[in-house]
Amino acid sequence: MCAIRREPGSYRDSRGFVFYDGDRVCRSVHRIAAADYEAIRDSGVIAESVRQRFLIPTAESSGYSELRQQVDGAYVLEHERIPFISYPYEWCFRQLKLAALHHLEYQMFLLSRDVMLRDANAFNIQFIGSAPIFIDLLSLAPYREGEYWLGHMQFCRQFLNPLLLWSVVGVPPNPWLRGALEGISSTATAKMLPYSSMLSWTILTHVFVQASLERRRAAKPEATLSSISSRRPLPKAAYKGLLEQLHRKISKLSRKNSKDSIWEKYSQKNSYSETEESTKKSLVLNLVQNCRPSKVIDLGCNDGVYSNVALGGGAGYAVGFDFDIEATDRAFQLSEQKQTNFLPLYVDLANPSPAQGWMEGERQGLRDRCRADLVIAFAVVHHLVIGRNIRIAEVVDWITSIAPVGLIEFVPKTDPVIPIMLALRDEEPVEYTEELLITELNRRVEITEKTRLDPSGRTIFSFRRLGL
Amino acid sequence: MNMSKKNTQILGFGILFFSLVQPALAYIDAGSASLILQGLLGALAIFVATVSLYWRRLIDFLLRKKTTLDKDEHDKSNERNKED
Repeated sequence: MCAIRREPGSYRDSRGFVFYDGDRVCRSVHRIAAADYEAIRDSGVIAESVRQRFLIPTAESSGYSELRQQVDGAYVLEHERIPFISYPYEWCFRQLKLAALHHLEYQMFLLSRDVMLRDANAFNIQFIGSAPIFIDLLSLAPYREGEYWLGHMQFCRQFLNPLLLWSVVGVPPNPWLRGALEGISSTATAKMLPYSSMLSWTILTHVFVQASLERRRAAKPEATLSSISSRRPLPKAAYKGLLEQLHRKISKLSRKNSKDSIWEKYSQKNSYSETEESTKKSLVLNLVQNCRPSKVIDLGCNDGVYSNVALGGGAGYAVGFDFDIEATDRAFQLSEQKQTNFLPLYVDLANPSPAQGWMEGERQGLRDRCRADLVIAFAVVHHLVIGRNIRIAEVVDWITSIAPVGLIEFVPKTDPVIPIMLALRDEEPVEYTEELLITELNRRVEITEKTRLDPSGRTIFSFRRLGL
Repeated sequence: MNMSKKNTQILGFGILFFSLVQPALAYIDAGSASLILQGLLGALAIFVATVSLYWRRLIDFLLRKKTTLDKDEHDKSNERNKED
């Protein structure tokens, strides 16, 4: 066997699986799927999908003969590597909407070439910067006249219903999606949507009627199954009509009550001056120009101002995390407008996405994905230490484990934001001093530069791992 | 415990069990509601397409008839003008 590592989340499809060989991302196509794969490949659909940026660039590999013998694999395909794997529960509204539209547009493209997608798993869409891309080539199957859209229920659970909760009810579905990897059922969605939403034909049919059919299925399973077995073929025009109807509806959805959040305009309204901001920008720029990072992680990224400085200075890719979903949405829209390699994600750093799913390996935890060449942690430490009572040693431990070089900001207790954070706290906060931060940094890394920002009294520490 | 009391208890538990138990297929069936919905929407699409086809034919027929009538009227009027 080659020195390969099988992707733990790639177990659902018996027709192949994803594996890693060092930095290479490969997919085994088993013999049972070979005929379908060859038909689709020979029709030129895969090449055209890649050209039109629907599908991740993919090439056949001539290697891995031993592996192919062992798993009865007919082909091994190599995919271009996604810079950072993200999950639907880490996406803002705009990201989930774009992913849903990408799925539908790709289906329409495929259907016009007599190919269909066998499922509608939201995890099969990833982002490269602000551009969505489909990654699961084995979901493609030849379309046969009269076939039903087998991924319809999954599409409703993983895309339509969460978007409707966001748009119609005004509730971000991220915590629910994080707890329910299969998505949100139509039955649950129907209970939460107002009756007035039934005036929309798409919501009436795809949510309320489907929920009613789900209840009927639960009450009379045998009758339901017998009515399915005697079902009429679905005309291709009706299949296409379903996709177009959902596309029209989702295109029009917007976030309900999308008022400014506390942090959404933080980069415009904050407690430090323009001079201090330009000092922070120049610190980022200098570090980027010195270490030429291919990947930057920006903790507490807000609208991504420092990630964009890093990208402007020559960083290859930037991933930002923020626990304010409105700010994440704004950051993503800026990334989309400027077409940058910046991927902002909704993450609460004190409660990051866990490893979960089958054997807790199907979806990776944030910690396992958090590897970069440079980390920016501006205005983060005080939120974790004062706001969430996490010991400064643990915060420093985590931040310095992300990248070999980085920037950490210390906000003094005299800063206007600290009394606000402490206003309603009656317990004694954990120890939070600049001296302690310096001590903990010195235990793990080398402080290469210390910059005091005046007049706020904030301090930026540049660090690098010992021995670099 | 006599036999009739025991039988009543078993019957009672049986009724309780079958009234509380979830339908066995409820959790193994992946998307039957979605397939039925698609079947209904597909049938509706065919119905709407058929109705609109016949509606269009009816409109075409009526328009053709009207056009023919108008044409006849126009021809007659022309003939009258020639006679004058």
